[in-house]
Amino acid sequence: MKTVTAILVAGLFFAGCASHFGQHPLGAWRAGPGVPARVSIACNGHVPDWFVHRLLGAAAHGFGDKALLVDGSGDLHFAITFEPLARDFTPMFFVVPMATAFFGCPQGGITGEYSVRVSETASGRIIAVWEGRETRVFGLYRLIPRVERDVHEAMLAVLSAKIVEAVVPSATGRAEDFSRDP
Amino acid sequence: MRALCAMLIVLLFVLPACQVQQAWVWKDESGGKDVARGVRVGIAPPAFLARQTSAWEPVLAEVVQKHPGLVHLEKNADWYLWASVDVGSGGSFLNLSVRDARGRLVAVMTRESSDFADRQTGRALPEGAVAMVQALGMMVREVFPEAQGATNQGGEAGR
Repeated sequence: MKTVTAILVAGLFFAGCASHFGQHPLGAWRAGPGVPARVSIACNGHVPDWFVHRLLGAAAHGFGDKALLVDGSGDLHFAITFEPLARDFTPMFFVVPMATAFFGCPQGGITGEYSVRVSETASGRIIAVWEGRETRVFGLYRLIPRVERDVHEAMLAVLSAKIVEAVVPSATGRAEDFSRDP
Repeated sequence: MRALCAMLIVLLFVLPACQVQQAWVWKDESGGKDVARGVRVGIAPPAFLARQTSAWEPVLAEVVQKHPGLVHLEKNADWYLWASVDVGSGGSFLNLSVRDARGRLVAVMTRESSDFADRQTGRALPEGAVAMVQALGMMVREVFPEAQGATNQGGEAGR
């Protein structure tokens, strides 16, 4: 019985978590030879400042000396729009909330959605449109603020990796976490 | 067995309440090294942020004012700084960005600390604000190190 319950809880947990990233390329962009490309990233919508700072830091870390990160309009511009985090409560929550929560069952999910417009500043041409979302579940042991943070961290990892990949294809995987103990 | 389970449950609730301190720092190696007196800096919001206002603007101005190597200008500065704070139940963050006059990003920093809004340990919010001001000063000095180190070591700059 315990094994069945554990498998059920784990199943519910993993079924509730989801990641999606869609790319819709509309053109191609290539940096000029010799000169490092100037790249700008702008974040709009419902996004905390720490997220933006960390995204820019991760991107700049990934670019290395291959591209320059600028404020405003660079040669290549990433305009990112974030939707407010959406909380979805499972029907289970309304039926037997405490009982299911006690056993660690997820009580609902938090979803963060974003879209990215990649454009060339000089010509105004849209190079690509990306869209994605991250869903993580919450419950008695997974409090909503913590899960919201998890959603932000997941979006951060995906976006920084994709931006670095788009600017410096050879630097895939270089947008690793650059945190340190203060 | 029961005691072990009880301890694990207690740990489950205690561990998340512990002190959190983390920093994410990116600095351009070619920028921010000028520590000579009279580095002209301005305070202005960058275009990359969704929120173009910050209640910490006057605090940053005071931090810049107290830095011996920096001169605060409204316009025509060589470097532009911006600081903002995110205080939430999920964590408290202090952010600082530095860019040059042409818009090139020189430093992007985020510091998370439970000292900034430590309600769990019963500290008053003003104490959190003091910790935040100190951290902001440290972050500014990290990008624009004060010249006193060079003066003490070499002695040339002070003469």
